[in-house]
Amino acid sequence: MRTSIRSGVMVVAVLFTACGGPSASPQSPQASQTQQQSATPQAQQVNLTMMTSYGPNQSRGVVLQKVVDEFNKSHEGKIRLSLEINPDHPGMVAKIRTMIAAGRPPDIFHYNLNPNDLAIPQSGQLMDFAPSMDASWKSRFSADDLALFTFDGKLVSLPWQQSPALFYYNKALFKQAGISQFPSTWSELLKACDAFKAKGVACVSLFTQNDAWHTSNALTYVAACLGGLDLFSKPDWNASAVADSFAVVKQLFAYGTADAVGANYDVSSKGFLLGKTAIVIDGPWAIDPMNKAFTNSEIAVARAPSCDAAKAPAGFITTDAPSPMAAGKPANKAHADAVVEWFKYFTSEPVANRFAVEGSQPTAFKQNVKAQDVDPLFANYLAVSANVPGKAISVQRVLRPSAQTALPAILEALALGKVTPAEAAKRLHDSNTK
Amino acid sequence: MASHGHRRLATGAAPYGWLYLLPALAFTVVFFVVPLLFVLGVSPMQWDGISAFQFAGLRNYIALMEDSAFSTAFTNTLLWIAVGLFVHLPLALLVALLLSKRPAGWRVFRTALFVPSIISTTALALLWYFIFNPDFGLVSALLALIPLEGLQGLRLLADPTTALWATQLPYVIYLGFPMMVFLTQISAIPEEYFEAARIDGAHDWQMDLHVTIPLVKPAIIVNSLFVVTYNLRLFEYPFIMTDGGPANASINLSLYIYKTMLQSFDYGGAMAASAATIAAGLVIVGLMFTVARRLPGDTR
Repeated sequence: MRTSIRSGVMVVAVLFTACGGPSASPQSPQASQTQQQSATPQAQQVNLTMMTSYGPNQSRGVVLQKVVDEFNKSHEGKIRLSLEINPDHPGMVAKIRTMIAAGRPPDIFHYNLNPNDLAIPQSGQLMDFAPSMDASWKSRFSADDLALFTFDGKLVSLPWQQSPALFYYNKALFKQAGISQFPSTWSELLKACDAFKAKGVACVSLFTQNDAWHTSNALTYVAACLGGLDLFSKPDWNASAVADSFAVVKQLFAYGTADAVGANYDVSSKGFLLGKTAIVIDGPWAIDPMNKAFTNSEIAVARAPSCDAAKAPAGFITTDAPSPMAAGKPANKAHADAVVEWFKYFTSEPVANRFAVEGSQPTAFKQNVKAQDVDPLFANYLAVSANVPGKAISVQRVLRPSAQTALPAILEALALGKVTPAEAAKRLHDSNTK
Repeated sequence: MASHGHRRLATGAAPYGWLYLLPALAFTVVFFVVPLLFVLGVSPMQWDGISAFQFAGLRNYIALMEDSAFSTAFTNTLLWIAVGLFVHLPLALLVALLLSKRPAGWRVFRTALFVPSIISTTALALLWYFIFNPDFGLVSALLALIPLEGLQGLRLLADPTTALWATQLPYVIYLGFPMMVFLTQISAIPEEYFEAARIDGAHDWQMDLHVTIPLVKPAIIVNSLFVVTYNLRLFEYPFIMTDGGPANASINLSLYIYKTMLQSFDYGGAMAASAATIAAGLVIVGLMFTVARRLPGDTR
């Protein structure tokens, strides 16, 4: 009897031990920070972690690490910032959302702002920068950008970048196809695609997996040209403009590489780097690998083609989503001060210029560099994207999450001839209004 | 004089036996019942994982019925189960029957066939993704040896008519685990049954058909259960090889739930799809047990 009771008590005790106590659960950086500070009131150093997808294989990732190292050196003993690198950007954002949902937002992170999915900026868990935004710091940003990230009077994110997606083209392949200059209209571009096909070269790098970034950019350029810069921002799209855009994209698939359907960003980019395609529509991060694959004179950046009865001003560009930086609500004043200190350093002109010169990365806060200081291809990129009459955000970035998920399948169905352009436009619209 | 406890022992009832069930019970409650209640509780909600819950009633379930991607995923999952039950398992049984006769090198074959079962499915899916690569994959190289137009540069994973079957191929041929279950059951059959059959003049294939297969019915049932549960959960092959494409041709329920939850941030919709998957699983397993009870054979 006593043995049975003892056994039973042991079993129950093991159960409670296995369930774990407070020490078994992972701590948020803020909680560990608070514990550290309360446990060692004399400790001055504030430890921060920044989540980023910029890894050491990208020049902007190398610059970011250097900037962090220099910041840590100049704030030794007071603030220490560590980078948590997750090269898979969608995976990183999913992790950030989960952390926010768990009430433990990261110390510092960046994300893409989607006007149709404001869960992150409106989560109530981000630091408000408004009280810290003095006149000097405010002057580093544009008023429009600051307004974009202000919700209910709180500035919950800081402008970081909104990279244009421009037309990079292989001049050697153009010359080989007998094309002397970049097409100025989409009709001319499709004729150029014919010439490329005759030479056994695919026209535009496209892919359908994940965010279908290259294809989304092509679709946006055509759609914005036909239907206006704010075409996809309106609840009721101009159905015929979107359908006509899908028709052009379908033709581009026909002129594209055989592996475009089902390909990812890597495969599509490598198609351009290996000379299989003549054009790729991409952001500034593509410059680094292009410089490794080509000499400076082989690649150039061109203005987007226009279209008949254009509803967008000539020379407009398509961009990535506004990609701000944010911070989780600080645990205490020391934490908040450290975050502000970091961001003031990060958004300063010297650091901004470093991103341009060493990282070929434009920033949303002011950069002051001369063309001769930066990479020649990046200088070309900056020249094309400067002083443009208008911008359209790439469609994939402004769709509702349900439509973002549906887009790859719709593009694949279009490319394979399983749906007509009109049906593709309808499917995308329906998934966006679900 | 026997104590009260000893008298209860003598009648076969273990005193305090429920205490020994507590760990398993706690495990089941924490890792099965609670998540199940969460799935059922969130399925009628509109929730993006961060904002507050909003009650949506049956809207998520209605949206599932209207979503062609869900019906494709459901059909494809049933096809995975059918391929598992009617191709994968019969092949495993055939191989087990051959190996049970212990031909030369049978141990080597048994090991070679079982090894893929202990390799991560993710690694296997990546391997087959490259095997099917039209530019440098093994399948392309082999097809290039056949002088038939149309076979060169076949893009099996990018063709909606072949993508699903291509993702199923590695699952079909990696039959090591069910093969071992069959072999174990075959080895437990008393030798006298085969001796009696031989005396009656039965050939090998007749013994397989009329003696071995009926007596491995328990293994067939167990393996069938494994096939159903595995294919309801299967994620790696469609995710890595095709991401459910092209045009959702190879999507299955697990991948649909993943995309709905972590790409569309529609947690309510994902939970509704999960609830539908659980319901489908219960129906299929229930049907299986009903059919199994009515099949002739040893039910030990």
